[in-house]
Parts: sequence; C-alpha cells; structure tokens
Amino acid sequence: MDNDDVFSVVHGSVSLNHPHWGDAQHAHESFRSNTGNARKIGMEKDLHLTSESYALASSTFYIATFLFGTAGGLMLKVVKPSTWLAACMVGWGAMSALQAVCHNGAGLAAVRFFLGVFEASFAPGCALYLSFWYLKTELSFRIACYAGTSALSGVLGGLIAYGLGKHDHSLLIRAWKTMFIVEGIPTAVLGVVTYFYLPDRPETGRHRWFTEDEQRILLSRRNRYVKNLDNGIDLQQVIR
Amino acid sequence: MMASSVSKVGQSTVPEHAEDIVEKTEPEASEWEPSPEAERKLRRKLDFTILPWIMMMYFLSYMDR
Repeated sequence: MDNDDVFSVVHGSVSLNHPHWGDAQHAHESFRSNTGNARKIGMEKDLHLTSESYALASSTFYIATFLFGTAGGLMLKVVKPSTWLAACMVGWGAMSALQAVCHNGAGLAAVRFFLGVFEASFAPGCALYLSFWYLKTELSFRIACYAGTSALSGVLGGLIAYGLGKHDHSLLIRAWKTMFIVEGIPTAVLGVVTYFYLPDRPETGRHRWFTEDEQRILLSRRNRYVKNLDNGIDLQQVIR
Repeated sequence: MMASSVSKVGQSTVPEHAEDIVEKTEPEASEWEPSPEAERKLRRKLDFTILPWIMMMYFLSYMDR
C-alpha cells in the first residue's frame, strides 16, 4: 500500500473495489474478529465468500452488539449474575462453534448476528458485576485488568489460526472449521462451570468462598458511598 | 486477626440480609467500617477469585468474536 492509498483510507474515500481494500480490511478484522483469520485459512474459498458477503457477515455482529449491548448488560440486575453471565458464555461459545458448520455467507451472517447478541449481553456486564464487589475507588484498576486481555486474545487467536492453517492438510476437519470449534466448545463448557462457580452479589447471601466476617465487610462496602437498593431496575434509573 | 478486628463492632450494627440493608434506619449502621487490614485481605481475596474469572471470560469473549 503506497502513500496515496494510505491517504485515501485516512480520509474515508476508499472505494469498495479498491485493489488494496481487502488487505486493509483484513489488517483491521484480524485484530477485532476471528473471521478475519478464518477467512485467510480456507473459509473464503470453501464458502465462496465475496467481499460483499464477507462484509455483511462481519457487520451483522456489530449490528447485534449495537442493538443488545445496553439491555443485555442491565439484565445482570434482573437475572442472577451467575446465571446471566453463564448463559451468555454458553451462547456465544455455541455460536462461535456453529460458525464451523456454515455453508455460505448468509449462514455465517446469521450465526454472527446471534454471536453478537450473546457477546453484547456479556461485555458491559463485566464492569457492572465487578462493581457489586469492589468500591468505585478500586474499580478502575480491575476494569483495566480484564480489558487488557482483549489484546492478548488477538495474539493467541492469530497464533492458533497460524498453527492450524499450517497443518490444514493433516487435520480431519478443515483448518478454519477446526479453529471455530477449538475456540467455541471450551468456552461453552466453561460457561456451564461459571454457573456453578461464580457468586452472585453480596446481598444474595453469603457465598461459600467468604467467611461470616468477610460477608459483613462486603455488605458494609456496598453501602459505603451510596445506598444500593438491589431490587431490580426501573426505567428512571437508566435514563436519568 | 481478621476476626478480632471485625468483632470490635457490635453484632447489632451488622446487617445480615438484603432486606435489613434496605430497611435500616440507625445512623451507626451505615457508618460502620471494617479495619483497613481486614478490608485489604478481603480485597486480595476478591482479586484472586472473582477478578481472574472475569478476566478469563472477557479474554474468551474477544477470542470468539
């Protein structure tokens, strides 16, 4: 890509059939999504993906994220947190694995829409869930801790795709399908574990991890700066 | 050590159920604070139980998208 192309990309004037558009899009997508990787290790050829059908498949995810992000995150206050986070995790793990059985771009777009629904319902809940346990003065560092892992997943995801792509011919299933399966199934299994592992909120009663004394401290922390009434959520709390 | 630091405070000021928190009216109940040492230990415990699990979930969510 020469300087003129960079200039045109920066100014948003690049056209869809530009010869370097695919490169730029792949460079962007491989950081943000594993379809970028899958595409390069055989998916594009097997599913006969055109640029348009690929663009549709990657954008349905973000459409769902936009539509379901807020409501999905707030559900953590309605449903028990362990149940909601676990359900989201099983859902996105299953959707991720289902991408392996897609036969065309339209199927991929549909599966990725539902992937976006589950992912969007989970991600905002992380900060909300940690705020049940940490004081707001402690929260920012913990948010940085988990948010930083997204960069790490790009590294590992790329390495997995590279390794599988290299051994495409010795694998039982095509490399890109294997990639979706090995990334999706363990997530769904860990989602079930989450349901039994993760405590809900200090107010829902003492969890087996904490002693009576610790439970007392947890409850006192909940009311230190602000009186938290954990009886669900109403619209006034959201829009004010 | 933690037990002694907490037990300095009377049992009556400590809410045991969520309903109690909502209904409590005595001012001393909301002013009670645990010792910094006990709280530091609890925070450490949260950092090694809840936080790693959330980090793992968030990591996988980016892995699968």
